Amino acid sequence: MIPRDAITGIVLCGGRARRMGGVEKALLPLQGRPLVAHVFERLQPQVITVLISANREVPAYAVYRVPVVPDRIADQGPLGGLQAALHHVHTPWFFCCPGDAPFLDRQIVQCLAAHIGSPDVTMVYPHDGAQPQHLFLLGHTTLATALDTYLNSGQRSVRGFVDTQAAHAVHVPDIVSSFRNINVPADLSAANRDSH
Amino acid sequence: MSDHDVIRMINQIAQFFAPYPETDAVDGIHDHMVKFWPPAMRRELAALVHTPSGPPAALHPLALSAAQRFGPPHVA
Repeated sequence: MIPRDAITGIVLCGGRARRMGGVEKALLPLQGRPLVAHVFERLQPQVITVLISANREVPAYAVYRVPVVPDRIADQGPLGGLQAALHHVHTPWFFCCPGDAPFLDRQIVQCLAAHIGSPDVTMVYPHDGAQPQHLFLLGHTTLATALDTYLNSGQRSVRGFVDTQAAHAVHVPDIVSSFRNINVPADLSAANRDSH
Repeated sequence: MSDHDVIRMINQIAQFFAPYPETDAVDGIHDHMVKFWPPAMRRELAALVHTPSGPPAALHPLALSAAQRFGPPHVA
């Protein structure tokens, strides 16, 4: 089990949101607050510090009073955001999650951390019963080196990177709503409707 | 990291330890920095705290107490 003060949270907000007309998705409103505000509120109590990975609308993130880290190299997908953020993580562990998944479970980090038992396990991710959720990743910060190598080789796939590591899936079918993200305008309308 | 980012990081750590009694909280913040922060970042914080104009107003009081334990950075 990893103590909470050894884990930094990373909120990935750097996506291009092509299916949402290129808007900054994490700033879209749910119940009158940006999606990222919901993520932040749920994540912060689970870790010691939070970093936000974002490339656009950076001033809008200042309200959370946490460092905002831009990608080092553009257009590398979520792994590019993770790579840049990891260079600012000082704790031995990190947990990353997308900035457009506002229903993050309030115990997910603790739940994943409970499955880090042996020194050879450096990464765990949830499996919701239907599919793996690789973007909700608890990993050891030393993975930064492997991630640099992976991205330098021209690969971008999150699943591909996870598969290169001794990663364990944790079955969490009871928190499936945690992984519900906003990809198209209809998702946002539905989320606003459901939460009223 | 910018000065702002260093302050944002230590303020978050201070918030994490704030529910504890003050001495334990300051110990916890200080120990966290000793355990996990690179020396350059600790020096950056020490320099921010020991400026002639006084520490940054944005610094959480518990963070300030923990940072002051490092003493002023050495002048070459």
